[in-house]
Amino acid sequence: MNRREFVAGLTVSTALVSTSRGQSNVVRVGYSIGQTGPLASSTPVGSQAYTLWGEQVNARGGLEIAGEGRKRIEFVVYDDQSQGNKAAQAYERLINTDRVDLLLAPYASPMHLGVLPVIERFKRPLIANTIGTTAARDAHSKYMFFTQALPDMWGAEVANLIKSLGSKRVAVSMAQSPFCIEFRKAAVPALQKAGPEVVFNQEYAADIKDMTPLLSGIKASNPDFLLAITFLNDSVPMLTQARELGLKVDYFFELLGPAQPSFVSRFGENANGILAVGFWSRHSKTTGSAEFFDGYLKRWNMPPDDKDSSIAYITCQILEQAVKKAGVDPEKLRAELSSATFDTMMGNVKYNEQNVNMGAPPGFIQLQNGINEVVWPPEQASAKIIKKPAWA
Amino acid sequence: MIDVVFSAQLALAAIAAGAIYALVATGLNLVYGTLRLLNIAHGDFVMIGAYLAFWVFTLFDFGPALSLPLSVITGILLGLATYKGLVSVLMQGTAREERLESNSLLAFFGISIVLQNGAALLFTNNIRAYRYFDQVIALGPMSMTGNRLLTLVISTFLALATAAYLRFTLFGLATRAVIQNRDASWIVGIDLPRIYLVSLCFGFSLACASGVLVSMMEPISPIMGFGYSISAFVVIMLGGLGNLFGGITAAFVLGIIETYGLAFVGSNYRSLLVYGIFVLVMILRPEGLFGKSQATR
Repeated sequence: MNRREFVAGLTVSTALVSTSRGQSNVVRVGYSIGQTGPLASSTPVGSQAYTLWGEQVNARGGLEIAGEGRKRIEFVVYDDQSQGNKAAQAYERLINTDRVDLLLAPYASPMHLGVLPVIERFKRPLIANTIGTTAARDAHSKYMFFTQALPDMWGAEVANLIKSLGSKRVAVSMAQSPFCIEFRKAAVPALQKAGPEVVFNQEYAADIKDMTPLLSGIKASNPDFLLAITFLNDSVPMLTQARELGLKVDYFFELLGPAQPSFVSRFGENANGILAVGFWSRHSKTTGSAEFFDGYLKRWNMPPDDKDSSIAYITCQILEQAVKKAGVDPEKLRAELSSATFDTMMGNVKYNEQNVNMGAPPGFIQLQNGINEVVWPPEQASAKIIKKPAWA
Repeated sequence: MIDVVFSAQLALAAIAAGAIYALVATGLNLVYGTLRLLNIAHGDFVMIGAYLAFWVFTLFDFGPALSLPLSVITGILLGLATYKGLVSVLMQGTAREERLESNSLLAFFGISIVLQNGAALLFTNNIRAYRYFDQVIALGPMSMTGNRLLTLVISTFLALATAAYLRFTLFGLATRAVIQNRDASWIVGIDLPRIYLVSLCFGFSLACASGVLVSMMEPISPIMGFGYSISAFVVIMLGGLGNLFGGITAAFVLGIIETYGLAFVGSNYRSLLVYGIFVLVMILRPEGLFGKSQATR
């Protein structure tokens, strides 16, 4: 083969490859998730929501992409082992080796923070979901979009909730975990400013098994609102031992934990009245709610996590709407995410100049008859707040 | 301060905490004492017991009355499989036997990975839970959920039953002889392989039984066992490696320190208190609180 033939052949091959990529009927969506590691038991609620969304979109004929028609979603998934640095490696691979068209977020704050420099460097937009720290926002990220409220926003809003309920004496307990620390950092000053008296304020190790001393102190302080800033596993002994001690409060709040289906499985009617952070209920009449809940229940044979599954699905809704308008070009997608308003299960989502969703105030949910209802903000509520019923 | 010291509720909580530590640690201590195996997968056998209890309850609506005996059988079968498939291989030849402790650490690390991932593949990583016997039972000035009381009673019974078996039965005495001096036991004609097999099955059964009990109170997931492995090792090292009576005592001591300590210093110092005391004991008395010091030649 001479040089002219070689160049001609190379040109034709390149043209064929380019043409075949453009004509491919597949759009590749990549993400990493902790399939192993300390968060392995928490991540399925996110990946299952992603899988559900992909299957539903493909059943409708594929993801509609501006200028390209519908394409079937194909996921490219890596195990980040619940480690931020592994998540960063995974996303570099997704972007540079696998050359995926779109990205979905990993699960939990450390992984989001690990991925942040990668998406900033390669200028790829990412719609964050389960991030519970202000660090990424404070780093002035251009390409990460924060969909659920950040802990300082939630912490400040809980003071509004407590004030609206007329509670005067608030006991605060906090698991030593980053999300909880940031939440309390905002909540306590906001409470003190709003009026209620903080009658108890103590923290504990997140892996604590027995809370008898802590809860005895809370009971002795005679609060009418218990703001238990829990982090998943400790939400269980918190409620168990509060019952044992006969703790009576008008309102009982546990930051994280009550949104998990296993919480109701564990406590039955004693879980009724427990408040938590959240923004969606299966009774919500918002866009896609019924499709999500019914689809998740049918696909996975269990109800979704009312917070983490729903936020993962919501970010997919946002991505779907953005891609329909802007296509998969990263800069056009970023511009669309920055400017548009998206209609989702949590209502309108609109990102401000810091890429923080300001579509609605941070929300709270409450278990009523074994189901999490949105009780705050009032304009999005699926039910009214009730006082904590007596222990069964 | 006085009302804290004399709080009946606190005392009950301390005993409840100690009881489950005692049961989990006894199984581990039995395996280490006889075989010198560092079973860091011990917590994963607790996890297996927990899943067994969950599925028995979910599918057949039966509580520990059925899942406890099933967990014992499961532990025996797992012990048998581990002995035949791994331990007997690790013990082949003098050179291998001398490296048994270090080899077992790696081997059981592998088993731990296999068990966790096996559970994840079979049951998914989703957290499971069920509700059983959670009525609050008042005992005078104290009150506790039924499942925690049941755990306290059964854990204490099983731990003490194990101690009684070792003290009052011939086979138990033979087991203690092996723990004390393996070579001398072999010389006097004790059937070492039989002791090893029974101890392994016994230890794993205790772990699985612990899992049944904790499943009534805690979320169940493939990775739930790691914390129990750590706690069990802390307890057996505090009590003296291979010293089962010391381990049981250390478990209750730890439960008391943890519960009362937090009442005095605050719940935010839990990790500092527990691991701080552990490190202090290891520095001051490396053989454990109840272990015998060995002369170095």
